[in-house]
Amino acid sequence: MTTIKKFFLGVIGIVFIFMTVRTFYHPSTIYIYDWYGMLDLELIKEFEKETGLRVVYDVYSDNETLEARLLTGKSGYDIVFPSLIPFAVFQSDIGLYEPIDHTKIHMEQIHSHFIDILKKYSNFLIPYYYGTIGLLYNKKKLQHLLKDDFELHEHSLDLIFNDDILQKIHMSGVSLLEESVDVLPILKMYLQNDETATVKDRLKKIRPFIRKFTSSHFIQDLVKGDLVLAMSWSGEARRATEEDSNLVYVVPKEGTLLWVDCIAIPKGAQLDKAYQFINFLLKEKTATRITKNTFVPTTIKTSYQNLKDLNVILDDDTLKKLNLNKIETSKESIDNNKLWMIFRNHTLH
Amino acid sequence: MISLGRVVHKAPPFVFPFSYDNDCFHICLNFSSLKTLISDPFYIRGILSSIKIALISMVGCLFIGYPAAYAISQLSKPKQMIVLILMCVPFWTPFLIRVYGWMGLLSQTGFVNHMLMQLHIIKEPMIFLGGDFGVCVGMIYCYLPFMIFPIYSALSKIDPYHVEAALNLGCPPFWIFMKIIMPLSLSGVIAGCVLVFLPCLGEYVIPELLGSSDTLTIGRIVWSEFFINRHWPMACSIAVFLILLFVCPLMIWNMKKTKEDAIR
Amino acid sequence: MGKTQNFDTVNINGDSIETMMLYRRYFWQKFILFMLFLFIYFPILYLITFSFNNSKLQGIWSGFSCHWYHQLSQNTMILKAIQTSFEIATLSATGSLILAIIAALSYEKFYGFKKQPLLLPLITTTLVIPEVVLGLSLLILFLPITKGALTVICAHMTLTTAYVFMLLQKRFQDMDHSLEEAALDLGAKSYQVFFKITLPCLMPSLLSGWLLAFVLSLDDVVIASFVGGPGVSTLPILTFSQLKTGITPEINCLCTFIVGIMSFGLLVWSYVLRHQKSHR
Repeated sequence: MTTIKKFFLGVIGIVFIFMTVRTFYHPSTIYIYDWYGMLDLELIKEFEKETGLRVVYDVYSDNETLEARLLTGKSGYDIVFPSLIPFAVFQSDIGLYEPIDHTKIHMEQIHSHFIDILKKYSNFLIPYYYGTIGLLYNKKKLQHLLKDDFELHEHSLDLIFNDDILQKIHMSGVSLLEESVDVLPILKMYLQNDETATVKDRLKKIRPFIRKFTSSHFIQDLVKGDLVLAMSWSGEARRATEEDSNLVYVVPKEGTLLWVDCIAIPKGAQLDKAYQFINFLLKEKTATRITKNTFVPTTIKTSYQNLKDLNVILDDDTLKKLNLNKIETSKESIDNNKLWMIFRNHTLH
Repeated sequence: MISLGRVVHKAPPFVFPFSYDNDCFHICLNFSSLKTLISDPFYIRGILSSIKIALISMVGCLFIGYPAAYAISQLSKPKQMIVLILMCVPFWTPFLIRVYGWMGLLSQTGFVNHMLMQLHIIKEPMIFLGGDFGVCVGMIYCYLPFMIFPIYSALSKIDPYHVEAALNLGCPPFWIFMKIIMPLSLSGVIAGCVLVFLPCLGEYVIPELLGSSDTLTIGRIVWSEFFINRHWPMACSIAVFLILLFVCPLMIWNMKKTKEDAIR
Repeated sequence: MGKTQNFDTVNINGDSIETMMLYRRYFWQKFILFMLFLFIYFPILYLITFSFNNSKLQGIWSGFSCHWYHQLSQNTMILKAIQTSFEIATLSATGSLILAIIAALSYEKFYGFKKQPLLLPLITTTLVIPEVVLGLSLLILFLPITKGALTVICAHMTLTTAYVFMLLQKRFQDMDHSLEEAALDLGAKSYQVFFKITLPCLMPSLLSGWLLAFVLSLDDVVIASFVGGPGVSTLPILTFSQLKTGITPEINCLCTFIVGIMSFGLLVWSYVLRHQKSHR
C-alpha cells in the first residue's frame, strides 16, 4: 500500500515540477501580440521552422487591452499590432516603442501610399493591415423596409445618420461601432460640419434608433437577424458576406475613414527576433496567405497580384480619396470620449 | 492576506503621489479625480444604476434561493448530498460558457423567444438582451449558489425539535416559518445577500456580454476608465470608493461580530 | 420521497388535513427543486444540444453533425489555451492550498491563546471584493514586474486563498486535536505530527479546497486580463475575445466536454465517498 502511495506521490511530484519548469522556462522565444484571428497557426509554424525560434502567440480583441498592457511597462511582447490612429500615434508619442531600423527590414515591399501617410511616425511604426469603415446590411430586408427610398440611399450614410430613415428601420436593429474615434469623424464628414453643437444635436436625434454599439459582434447578429444594418470594418464585413449572401457591404459615397494597423516593437523587446518576424510578415507569401484567410488586405504591394479575384484590394485612386482620421489633441479626445459615453448612455441633453 | 497590499495611488497616470529626490521626500496628493467622482452626474448615475442592478439580482437570488435551500434542507441526508452535488455540476463549468448559453437563449431569435411565440404569448420577438433584464438573469444564474449554500447551511443547523414543538403546540405552519425558521436562518440570508450583492456591483463580464452599453455597473465603469480613457487615477478612485462605501462597513460589522462571538 | 427528516416524528394518524398538508408540502418541494434544476441546467443542455448543430449559428437548428468537434480538435489555439489554463490553475491552486494551510494552522494556534478579531474578517472580505477592484490593485502592485505566468498565478492565489482558508479553518475547528497532543506527548517531532496526523486528517478538505481553487482560477477572466502578459492567453481570455468577436460553436463542444468530465469526476468522487463509508 505504502509503495503504491509513494509511487503516486512521486508521479504527481514529477508532473508538478515538469509543469513549473514548463511554465517559467522559455528558451529563445518571440512573444507576439496580435488581433484575434489574424495570423493562422500554420503560418506561425512555418516561421518557427524557418528560424528555429519558439513563438508565443497571444491575441487581443480591442486596442484598449493592448494599450493597457503596454502602459504597465515591461509588457514582455516583441511585436504588437496597434491601430494607427489614435492608439499607435499616442503610444509612439509617449515613447512606448523602439525606433525601427529601416535598413534591417525590407521596407521596399510596402505600398508607398501608406508610408506617406505615416509621415513622422514611420520611425516607430510599419503599416501593415488596412481597410475601410462602411455599412454592412441585409439588402433584402432593407429593401423591404425602405421600399422606394432604398435605391436613393443605398450607398449613403443617410442610412445610419438620418433620423427619418432610421425611424423606418430601427425596429429591425441598427448598430454603430463602439468607439468615438470610429464614428464621430464619419458623422462630421456626413454633416460637413465640425462644430460640437451640430454633432451633438444630430447624435441626440439618432440615439433612440440605435440598438447597439458593437465593434465585433455585429456579424453574428446580422446573420441571425437580430440586426439589419451595422457599421462595420471592411474585413469583418467581407467575411460576413462570405457567410450570408444577403449581406452587402458598401463604402459610403460621402467618404469614410481608412484604418491602418501597424507593426510596432515595444520598448525592451528582443530586437533581432522582432526584425526576423517583421521580415517574415513582409514576405509576399505571408501577406497573400493572411489576406486569403481573413479578407483583410495588407500593405505588401507584391501580394496584390495574387489576390485580384478576392475583391478586397483598394486601387490607388480609391485609396487617395479615403481619409485617415485626424490626430486629436488629448483634450479633444477626452471631450469626444465624454460626449460619446454620454450619447451611448442615453443622457444627452 | 496578500490583498492587504492593496496600494492605491491617486495621482495623474504613472505619477506616484510619493517621490524621493534631493534627499527630500515629496508627497503630492491629487484629489481631482475624487472630486470629479462625487461631482459628475455621470458617475453618480452609473453607481446608482449598478446598485439597482445588484439589488434586483440579490432579491431575485433570494427569491429563488430561499425556497430552494429550504426544499433541499427538508430532504433526507443522502438525497441532500445528491441534490447538492447535482447543483454544483453546472457551476463548475466555466462561467463564460454559462453566460454564453444565456446569450443564445435570450437572443432575439433564441429559444425563449421562439417558445413564447409558439405559445402565442407574444407576437413580436422580445428584446431581452441589451437591457437590465438580461444582465439580472445572468447575475442571478451565476451567483445563485452563493445564495443557496449559506442559507442551506443555516437551515440545516436548525434543530427540528423546535419546529416539532411548535407544531405540537398547535402553531400554524405559516407562523412556524415566520417565528422560528426565518429568524434562525437570518444569518445565512444575510451572508448570502452580501456574497451576491457585492460581487454583482463589481461585475464586468456579465453586463458586457448580456447587457448593452447603457447597463452600467461599477465594475464596468472601472474597466472603461482604466482601459478606454487611460484614466487610472479615476479607476482607482472608483475602486476606493467602492471599498469605502461597501466593503469597509461590512468588515467593521464582521469584526464586531467576531468580537462578540469571542466574548461569548 | 418518503418521510422527511425533520417531520418524521410528527403524529399524523388519521388527521386528514395534516396529511394533505404534508403531501402538498412534498409537492411543493418537488416542484421547487424541479424548477431549480430546470433553471440551472437549461442553458447547459441548450449549449450541449447546439454543439451538435450543423450550422455555424446558435439558435437555428440545421441538422445533426459532429463537425464542430472535429474543428475543435484541429484548433490548436484553443487546445493551447486549455493547456495554459490548466497549468496556471494547477500551480495557483497548489500555491493557495499551501498558503491556506499555513494561514489556517497559525490562525488556529494563535486563536487558542489570543483572540484575533481582525484576521478572520480581513480574510473573509477578500471573498466579496469585486474582481475588477482586485485586478486593478494587483496590477498596480505588480507594476515593476514583467507580466507573465508568474503574476497571473500570484493574482489567482490571492483570489483563491481566502476560499480555501475558509474551508480548512472550518475543518480545523471540528478536528479532534487530542490525537496531535497524544503524538506530541509520545515524543513525535512537530513536523512528524504535521505530516502524519494533521495533514491526513485534513485530507478531504484539502482535496475539495484544491479543487475549488482550481475551478476558480480556471474561471477567471478579469484578473487574468489585468495582470496577464505574454504566453498567458488562458482559456477564459480566449473565449471572452471569441464571444466578443464572433461566434464559433467550438465553444459549445468545449462546454460539452467540460460538463462530461465534471459529471464523470463527480460520479467517481461520490462512488469513492460511498465506498469509504460502507468500508467503515
